[in-house]
Amino acid sequence: MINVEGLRKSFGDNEILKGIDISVAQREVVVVIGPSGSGKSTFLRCLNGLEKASAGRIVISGDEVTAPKADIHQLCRNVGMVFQRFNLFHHLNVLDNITIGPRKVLKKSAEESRRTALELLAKVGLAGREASFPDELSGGQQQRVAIARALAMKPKVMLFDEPTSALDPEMVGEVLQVMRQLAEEGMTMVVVTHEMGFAREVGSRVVFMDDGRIIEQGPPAELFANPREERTRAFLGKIL
Amino acid sequence: METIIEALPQIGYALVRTIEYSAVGILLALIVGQLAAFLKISRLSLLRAIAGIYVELFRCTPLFIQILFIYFGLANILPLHRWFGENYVWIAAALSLGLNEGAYMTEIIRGGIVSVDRGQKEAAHSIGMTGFQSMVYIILPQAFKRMIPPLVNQSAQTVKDTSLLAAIGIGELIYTGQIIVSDTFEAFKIYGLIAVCYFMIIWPLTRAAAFLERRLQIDKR
Repeated sequence: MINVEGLRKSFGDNEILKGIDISVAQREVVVVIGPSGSGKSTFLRCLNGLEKASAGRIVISGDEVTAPKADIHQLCRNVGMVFQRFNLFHHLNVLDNITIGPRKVLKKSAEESRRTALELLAKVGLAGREASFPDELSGGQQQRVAIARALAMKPKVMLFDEPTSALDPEMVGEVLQVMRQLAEEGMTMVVVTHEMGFAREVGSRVVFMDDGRIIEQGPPAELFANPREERTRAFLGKIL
Repeated sequence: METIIEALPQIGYALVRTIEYSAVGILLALIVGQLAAFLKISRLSLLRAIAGIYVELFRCTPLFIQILFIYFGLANILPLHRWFGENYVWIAAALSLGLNEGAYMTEIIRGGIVSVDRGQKEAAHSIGMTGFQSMVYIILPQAFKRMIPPLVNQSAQTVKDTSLLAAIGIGELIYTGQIIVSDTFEAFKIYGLIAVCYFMIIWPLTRAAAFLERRLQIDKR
């Protein structure tokens, strides 16, 4: 589903990603962990074209994102993204936040977009909130709307960039619950998170990144119990 | 009282001129300002430079000299009167006013656009919107709400600035007032009346700005 080869990304002289190679199969849930500044977020942002790769190849569902003439906006429709700070459209109510993509980008009818949006809202546990504005919702509710917004584009892959890091602790669970459900339905997911419980429970693979490289990866049970690399051990020792 | 009543038709006519030039000036300034603001946030440094030069040129010289330069100065080196005939005076008036106020509007509009959180654009990108779509559907609607109060203030300024058009013989309030005073010597009454005229145009504008500002603070959407 996702194939990344030799991905490098620099900002000026500062090389953030120093050669990432990874493949993600369909229905796989890959959880990316690592210290801050290790390049996790940049990696995710390269996958949906928010950052332009300096070198390397990214192929998602058969389309090369890094091709010189790639229509990045077309490719983006296959890739949903959920942000740390939700980034709901403040001037639109919940329904319009979810339907604006299908209506304006996919050119779906208002009625069809509305129906899909209401189904998705029910799915993320927010049925009846379609008329609310983002600033009337709690962080957890906003993030669930953001997930619905991404799903409305019928993506083949969902990327989550620290989706619970900006939430109050009591709201983390409701967002993780929605993500867990998505994983069970077979969505291909790449999740950057500090929620080790989620990684252990839902992740099909855990990837440990440090200093712009993938240091180690494997099934969660294995990686958490017997990390091979010293750096992984040190990191896990600090956070577990 | 008699003087005022006699002057009323002339002043009424001049009031309409002032409102006309204000409206044309504001409209032109908004169009020019919007275009220059887009240039200023462009990825191409050449376009940014062009907009930058325009803004600084018009902000760092007085409107008065701009009016004189465009009407008299340019006509000195180009056969503008032959091309446009009598129309050139109002073209020059509208152009100098629109370009001058446009420079200030550029900064207001640009400021409004860049004040919208980056994450909004990223979210628009993530649902497949093109740069143009995200500007139209996501960024501008949010930016516009923040721009309204300063844009209204700048519009009030534009109304006052039409008074400088008297220098090239546009029959607006100041020009007309000076003519009446030179005939009647009733400076107190006539200039007082003209001040009232400006007040009647601008006061509702500033009220509207204050109202919008309050409303937008309560209702952050």
